[in-house]
Parts: sequence; structure tokens; C-alpha cells
Amino acid sequence: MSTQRPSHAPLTRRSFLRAAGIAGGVAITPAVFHTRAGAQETASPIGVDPAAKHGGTLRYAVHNAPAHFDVHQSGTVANIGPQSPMYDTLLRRHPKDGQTIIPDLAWKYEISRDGKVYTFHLRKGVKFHDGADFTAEDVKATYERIARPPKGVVIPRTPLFATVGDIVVVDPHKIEFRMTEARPKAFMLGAFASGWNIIVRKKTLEENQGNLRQVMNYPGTGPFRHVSRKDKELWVMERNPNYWNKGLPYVDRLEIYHMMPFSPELGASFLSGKVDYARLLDPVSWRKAKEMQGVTAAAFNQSVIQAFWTNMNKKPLADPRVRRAIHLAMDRPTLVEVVKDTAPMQVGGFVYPFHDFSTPRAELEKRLGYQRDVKPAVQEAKRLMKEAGYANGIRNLDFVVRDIATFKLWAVAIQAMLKEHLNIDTNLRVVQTSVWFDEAQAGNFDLAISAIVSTLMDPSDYFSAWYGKDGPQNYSRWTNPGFHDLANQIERELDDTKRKSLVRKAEDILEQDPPLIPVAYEQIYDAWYNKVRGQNPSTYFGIYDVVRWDQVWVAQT
Amino acid sequence: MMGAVLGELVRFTRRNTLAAVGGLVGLAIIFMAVAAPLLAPRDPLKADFRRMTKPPDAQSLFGTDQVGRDTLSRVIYGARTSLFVAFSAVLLGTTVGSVWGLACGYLRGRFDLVSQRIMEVLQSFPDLILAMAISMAIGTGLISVIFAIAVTRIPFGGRVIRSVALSIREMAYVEAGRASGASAPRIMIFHVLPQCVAPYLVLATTHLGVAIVIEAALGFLGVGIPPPTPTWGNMLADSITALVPPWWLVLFPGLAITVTVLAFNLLGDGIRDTLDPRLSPAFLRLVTGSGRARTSAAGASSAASATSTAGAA
Amino acid sequence: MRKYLARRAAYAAGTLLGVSLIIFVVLRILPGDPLVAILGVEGHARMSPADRVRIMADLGLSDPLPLQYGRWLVDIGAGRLGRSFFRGDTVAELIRHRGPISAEIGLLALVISWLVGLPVGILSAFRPNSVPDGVARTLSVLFIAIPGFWLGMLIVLALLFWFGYKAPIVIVHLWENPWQNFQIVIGPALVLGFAQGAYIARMSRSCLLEIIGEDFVRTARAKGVREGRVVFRHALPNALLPVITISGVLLGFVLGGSVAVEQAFGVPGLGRALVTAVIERDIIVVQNLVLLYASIFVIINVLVDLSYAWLDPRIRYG
Repeated sequence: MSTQRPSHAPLTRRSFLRAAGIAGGVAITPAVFHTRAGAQETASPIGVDPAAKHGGTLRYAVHNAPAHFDVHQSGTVANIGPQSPMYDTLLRRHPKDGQTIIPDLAWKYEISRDGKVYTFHLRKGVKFHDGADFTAEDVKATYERIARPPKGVVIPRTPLFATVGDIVVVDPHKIEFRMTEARPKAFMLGAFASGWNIIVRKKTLEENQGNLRQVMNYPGTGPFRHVSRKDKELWVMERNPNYWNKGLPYVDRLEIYHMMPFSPELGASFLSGKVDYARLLDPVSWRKAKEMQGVTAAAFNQSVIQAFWTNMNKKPLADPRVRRAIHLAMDRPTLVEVVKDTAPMQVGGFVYPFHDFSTPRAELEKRLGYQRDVKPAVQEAKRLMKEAGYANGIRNLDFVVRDIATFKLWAVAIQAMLKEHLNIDTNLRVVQTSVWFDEAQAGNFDLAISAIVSTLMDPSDYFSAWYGKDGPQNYSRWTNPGFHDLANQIERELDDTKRKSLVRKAEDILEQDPPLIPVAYEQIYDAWYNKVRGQNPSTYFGIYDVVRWDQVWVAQT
Repeated sequence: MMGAVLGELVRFTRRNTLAAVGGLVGLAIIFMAVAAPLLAPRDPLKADFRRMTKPPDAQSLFGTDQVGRDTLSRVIYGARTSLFVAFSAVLLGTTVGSVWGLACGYLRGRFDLVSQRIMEVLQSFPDLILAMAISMAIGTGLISVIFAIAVTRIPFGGRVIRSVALSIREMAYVEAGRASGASAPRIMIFHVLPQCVAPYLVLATTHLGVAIVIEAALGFLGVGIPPPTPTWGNMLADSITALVPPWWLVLFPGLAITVTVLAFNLLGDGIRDTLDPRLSPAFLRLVTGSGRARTSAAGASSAASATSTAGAA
Repeated sequence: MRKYLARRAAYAAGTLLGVSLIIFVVLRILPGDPLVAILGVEGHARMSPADRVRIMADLGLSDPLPLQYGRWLVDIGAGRLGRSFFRGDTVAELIRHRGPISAEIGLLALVISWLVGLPVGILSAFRPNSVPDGVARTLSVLFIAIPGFWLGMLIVLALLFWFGYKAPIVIVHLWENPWQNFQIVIGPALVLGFAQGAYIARMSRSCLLEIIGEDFVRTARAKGVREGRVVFRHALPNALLPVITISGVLLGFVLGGSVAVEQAFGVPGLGRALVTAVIERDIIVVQNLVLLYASIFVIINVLVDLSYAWLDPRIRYG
């Protein structure tokens, strides 16, 4: 069976791009629920499908085990994958397309005319898994933490809420976010709908001094409840019988298997029927799955950039010419080719290559650093190195590599390119995912390769999260006043055409003074046995938003 | 003199054909390691992005890996790393152990007693596990892997040489030396030490194979010498990047380990049989560390050869 | 005998104390600073003083070393094996969950090694230098040389490639589903069992040959006892002792070997947990698992000694 597209939207590449653009926050929200007045609480748009069957077990394999349990602090699917079914968010993206923003724990919201006050009306009668009532205090505690993390806590989503001032509990079921300055609505709503921003209990946060890294099972309001966990193997959850969205979820039991992305183990487990749904398959397994009877395979864009960071505290790397030289020394088409049997990738620069604002592919491929023929770029790189005083290269850079097949292959290839083109010597240090993020955060590297996530496809999000001064994922500790000014303008600019040209301008700065060295952009390969119904991620952007499994059911149980 | 050596070699070969073959293959591998820059068709670290994941062909006999590095060259350079680690570790471990054992056997007393317990404790760890713990503590890298493997070899040398020293100490000519007023170090160097050479050689050869397997296992588990240094264990670990890894990336490094270990094991067995056929069973159990120094029933000599190479498997 | 038992146990306890001390020295003192073991050399060099204080306090590493060591021993005595540095999972739970699989693999490997090794050894000794003997000896030499983890890799790949087969992916205990459990343990047990079987074949062959050369066997033969009876009735019982000894020793080696073989087969056993802990630098887990492995090794040695004393009437221990 071939790749299935959702029947409601026959997709061409163009329309897909447009749909994906929506995720970046161009036009959203069905007007229904913020225009309709009245205090009558409306049900979730995700109703009970009459065709759906209740019961059964869903076996889902996704990524290896998390290093800690704090979803807010995390930047990897290792957390979102297993943990998100236990939690809800204020708003969410509709599972049918992964784009449309719909209500969740907030059944209604209002945005003031000046765009500076967001009011959320919360559902009544929602209970946490420990039996406690869900109230606006919990939302406040959650968002205070995300917007203004306590000392020692780093949350990649913090910049999304940089303009959030006071968070005011109006009554137990109504909360106001007062902004210091207006942001595009789409941007803010996208931020509130992000799968990362799960609502946790105020009490939980207080009891653990604001740090949930070692707290395995903190109560949520989500469709599934924790049952048991075997570290590095399996996380088992059961249907939450008191779930506020009556009739959901469908499956009784959720088994989430921790398996290394792209690994033979994951592929083999799916192909031999040991799991029903596999995420992050390698291309070989995915192609096999596609040919199998009774199996559906889908591909969709991932909301991450694959890149390596250059520590600004290391002397030669502080020089923009050296960083640009490194950037130009990358033979990107080859880097995509190197991992072709491990993961599907495409060439891109500093903005998502499939976003409306990005430089079109044909134009990008003519630019130095992205061309098929690397000679001109390398020549320029050598010139820059000479100019910076490193004509003889650089010795002994500590290159921290995340222990996943793609990064290990790339690290070797990049090492070879740096050596051959610029005479830069690097020492590879392979570390586990958990260790990688800690090392990157602490600045314990010269070069460090991994992938990092953005919440939205819109540049305003990751221009501050990835490249912003003090951005939580700005591991290089990079600053460039010119860029930060532009990024500020882009955040405020409401006219799309003007925004686009500003983004291009910002892109030019990034090309000249790279905050990181982009390697590639990824597609996610999913596959599932057809008995799994209710989810097709073909139009999703990333694997961090529609991850709750409440709408999924298992046929013939 | 040359003639005598040759004659000895011919006799050895006739009596131990297998060991001789093992010796020859071992020599060939050592030669390969030493002459790697001359033999390897290409630079083992040089990626060739035009020829990635190519099966064996005329241009690269063992195929290429995912970034186009030549597998044959990597296997050849891998021999360099493996043998360098194995020889250094065995040499270091056995020498330290032997000197310690010599001192124990000669000095006896409390020093001996305490040393014996320490060695016994060291022998209570499965080799690979102790090596893993040590390399975790002192960091990964060539030197720490050598050090980690060497530590696991110390007690073997210690216990064997100690028992040799103990028995020689009582011999008439040593007694005579002592009576004529020779100093303890003098006696040790001129009388005891020469007697330890044969068992030392046996020890060293029988442990080479173990050291190679431990090194490969550390690499395979990702706690050995970091990439991109080509080692056989690393190559095996790195081959797994897709559902079914290219067969040539799995086959050749594994074969290299097997052939090398096989060659050194055969040689070790042969040397042991030849150098000292009178080695007592108890002594042999010591050589190879099958636990306590209790006199066993007959036939322990093969227990010796067996356990010596059990290692990390 | 009882006195011997007591003495042997006390001796083993002493050894275990030494083992724990070595682990402590290796992981806490050898790097100069335990944080080197946790963060690695590079990470350690660049750690901020604030992080340092926090981690040291988290792990109770700020106390004087003898106190830390003493506390560790007391904890072990009380059955508190500590928690993972990262997720707070307890080591005790890890061992309870994963230990049985690894133990099963070890024991099954032992059984296989006897089932394969002994008959082959007897056959070889029966007709020394015959063709079957040659084949058996060649195979045993080969199996001793092949690294188990590589063989494991080849088996996993072959099964996957030709049969699309994959063993269960999470631990299924014997008492939960014997058939699935069997599929998990059989691969590693076969690989480890054959390697050990090769040693046992070699061992039993040479023991038998030596005993067959002894007087009482010659006497039996001279009396006209059938060859089979000579081997099974006279030679074999005497040859068994060293074979038992070596099995004990080998079981110890299996402990080490199983770490790599579990990894090759993707079996989520204790060995794999140890490898991950080493890579993650999860010092508390490593410390306690290494102690566990060494303890098992020591206890096996005690058991071998005891069985020896029990089986061999010639040996009497005061």
C-alpha cells in the first residue's frame, strides 16, 4: 500500500506548503469559538467518532527513553513521545491536519482589540489524575514557570512568551494573560497550542521546588494515566476513565516503547509486528513498510533544524570569518546523501526551507555553501580563514556528537570536510542524548552537533529561541545587534510582504555571521498497521504537537 | 647460533604445525600493522563522498563505508590499533604483575600476604566489566583503554611469577648464593629472574588474544577508543546505521578479530607446550587464572589453555 | 566440612569487601574527582563552581571519602542500592527487573555448554586423532576465537534478513510467557554456550586422555572391560572434577561476555543496563552493578570450591 493522504485534502506540494505555512501562524482559528458569546461551555471539536471502536491496546514505538521527566525543560521527543498522552494544553492543534488550532482545557478565549489581553475560559469539572480539581491557579503556575523559569531551569519555549506580563487569575475558571506589547495573534495562539506547554499542577511545582526532572509521574489531566514504566524499555498507560472529553480516549491501554530513532531495532520491531505504530523509521524500513499489505506509511516535515553549534567562547570561533568559512566548507548535498539510508533529509539554510518566507530552493542552490559544486565556496572559505589569520587551520576542537546514527555519520563527514577544506582538526566525542543537551547548555564544547526544535514554523519563534541573545537554544552564545534589531522588527511587523523581505535581510546577516552551521532539514517517517485508525500525520509539522492519542482507535480488537 | 635457532624452529614447526601456522599468521598481521601506511591502499580517515557505501569491487576490495572510507584500509589500520593496544596492555599488565609477583615470592611475609589478597580481589572482576569501569573513570582514549586492559592482566602475572619465584628461592644454587653473601636484589636479578622468562613469555602470548577481544568489545559497546580512529570494534559498532547494514562492513572487521585471536591462541598453545612441558597442572591453572591455586586432578593443563582465552567473548 | 564452609565464607566476605573498595577507588578516587567520572574530562574542566556544588551535594560527594565509603557499605547492607543519577529509578528495581533474564541466559549457556561440550569431548577422547576428533578440535578452537558479540550480530542480521524475525523487544519473564521468554534468551545463551562448550570439549578430551593413560584404566582394559564401560564407568567420573571447575570459572567469564552479547542481540538485560549506565556516566548505577557482577563471580568460585570438596573424596579440608 502506498502513502495515504487524508481524504479531506488531496495535497499537492504547493497546497501542502501553504498548509504548513498555517502552522507558522499566518491564518488560523475557526472564528466560531471566540465570537460566540454566552457562558455555555462548548465541547471539544474532537467528538466521539461513531465508527470508532473502544478498547484494545496501542503499541507505539518512539525514540529512546527520556533523560529526565520535565517536559517543559525538554527539547526532545524522548519526553513528548511517551509523556504527552498524560497531559493537556490550553489550546491544541486538530489531529485531522495538525494545523487548525482548537480549544482544549480552555473552551473559549478572547483577545482584546489592541491584542494585549488574552482571556481564557477554562473547562469546569476537569480533574487531575490525582483527583484534584483543575483551576486557573494551575494554568498560572504553569505559565509563570514557562515564561519566567526559576533559577536553574531552562525552558526552550520561554521566548514565545517574552511579551507576557501579568498572568491574572480572574476566577477559578478564567485567566488573563496581559501582554507588555502586542504580538501577531497567530504567533501567540500557536504558542498556547504548542504540545510542549502541558498544564501541570501548581502543587506539583511547589512540592518539587520548580524542578520536575526527577519526578516520573506528576499528575496531568490528559486522556491517559500512568501505570508502569520500565526504564529504557517501555512506558505503560491506561485510559483515564474521568477524562473530561467524554467518550475519549478509545484505547484502554497505551504501550510506548523506547527505541532508538532510525535503528534496525525499531525497524525490525515494526516490520515483525511487535509494535502497531512506529515513528522515526529509517528509510529502508519505511520503504519495506510501504510495500507491506495492511500497512500505511507517511512522511511529513519535522520542526527541527539539524545543525552544529560553534562555541563563541572558543577564540577562533568568535571570529565571524572563521564561522562563515566553516559554513562554506560544508558540502550540503553530500551531507544529505551520507545519511540517506538512515534518515530522509533535505538541504536548507537558516530558515525552514519549506516555509513561504524562505529563499526558494532554486535560488538557494545558487548561493555559496549550498551549491552542488563546492569548489567556489571552499575557495572563499580558505580566503576567509587566511584573512582571519588561520591559514594553517585550527587544532584540537572538541566536537560533541549526539549518540544517534545520523549525527555520528555526519560528524565523521563534517570532520573530513573541515580537515580537507580548512585544515581544522576536530576530536569527536560521542555522548548520549541526555548528556548532549546538558553539555550544550553548559557550553562544554567547541563544536556540537544535534537537532533542535522550534514550536512554530514562523521565524519569529526560532529567531529568538535559536538565534536570539540569551535564546534558550542559542548554544553558541552568539550575539549580533544588527540581527537582534531586525528580529524585533519582524516580530512586530504585521504585513506579510514586508516581513518576508525583513526575514531575507536577517538571513543575509546569518549567512555572514552564522550563529550555528545548518546541516539539513528532516522529514519524519511514520508507519502503522491499518488497524490503527484516526491519525494520519501527513500534513503535520513536527512531532511535538499532535501527540496525545486520544482520537486514535484500534480496529478488530 | 643461527643454525641452532633455525633447528629449534624447524623442530617446533614439525611438532606444532598448527602453532607454527598461527605464528606465521600472527607475524603477517603484525607486519600488516607495522607497515600499514605502505600496505593500505588509501588513507583510512579520508572520506570519499563520490564512493559511499560501495560493495567490494576492484577499486576497494572490502568495499567502502557510509562516508566513503575504504574498509580494507580501515581494517589494516585497525590491526595497528588493536595490536598496539593488546601488546602494550599485555606487556604493561604482565610486567607489572610479574615484578610484583617476583617481589612477593622473594620477600614473602606480610607483603606477600596482602599482595595476594589484592590480586585475588582484582581477579574477582569479569575482565570486560573492570575494563569498562576503569575507562569510565579515567576517560576514553587510547591510553586509558591500554591502562584499563593492563590492570585486568596484573593478577595473572603476579600469581604465576610468584609461584615460580617461591620454588626457585628454595633451590640449592640460590641458597648457595645467599650463603655467599649476595644481596637480595642481586639474587633476584641474576638467579630468580632468568627462570621467570619462560613463564612470562607463555603468559604474554596466551593473554594477547584476550586483550584483543576486550579492546574490540569496548569499541563495540561504544566505550573504547573514540572515533574516527579505526578499530575493529568501532567499525562493527558503526556499521549499524540502517535496517540491514551493508554486509561488508559487518563481515570484514569481525573476520579480522577472529583470525587474529585464532592465530595468537594457536601460537600461545604451541609455545606453552614447547617451552615447558613439565609445567605442573597447578602452575598452569595459575598462568591462566582459573581461580584458586588448589592442586587439581589430572588434565588441568587444558583448563589452562581454555580459560586463558575465555576473556570477554 | 562445616568448619571449612565457615572459613570459606569468611574468606569470600573479605574478598567482597576488597572488591567494593576497588570499585570505590576506581570510580571515586582514581579520576581524582568523582565528577570526572560523571561529566567526563572535558565537561569537568569547564564546569561552573555553582554546578559543581550542586552535583556534589546531590550525590553526597561532599563528605570525606572514608565516610562516603562507609555509607555506601551500610546502604548495601540495608539493601539500599541507590538511584539513577538521571531519572531516579532505583538500582534495586533495575536488578529485580533485568536480573532474571541475564541469570537465565547465564544458566542456559552453562547447560548448553555441557550438552555440547561433554559429548564432543568424550567422542574426541574415544578416538583421538580420528577425523571426528579433528573436526571437533578445529571447531572448538574456532569457537573460542570468534567474538561472541560479532556472532550475535550475524545471527540477528541473518534472522532479520532472511526470515524477517525479531525477538521480543521488552523483557518477558519466564513466569509470564515461557515461549516469548525463550525467544529472548535462546540466542545469547547459544552464542555463550557454544563458546563455553568449546572449552569444555577441549578440557574433557584431555582429561579423559590423561586418565585413560593411567594405571587403573589400563588394568580395567587388561581385564577385558568393554571400551564404552571403561570410559563411562572408570575414566569419566574422574575427569568430571576439572570440568566442573572450569564450568564455574567459565560462568564467571560469561558474566563479562554477556555484557557485549546482550548488546549485540538487543536483549534488555542487566549487561545492557550496565553499558548504558557507563555511557551515561550514571555513577551510582555503575558502582552497584559492577559490585553485583563481581559478587556473583566470587560466589560462583566459592560454590565451585565447595562442590569440589564434596565431589572429590581425596580432598579433605580441615
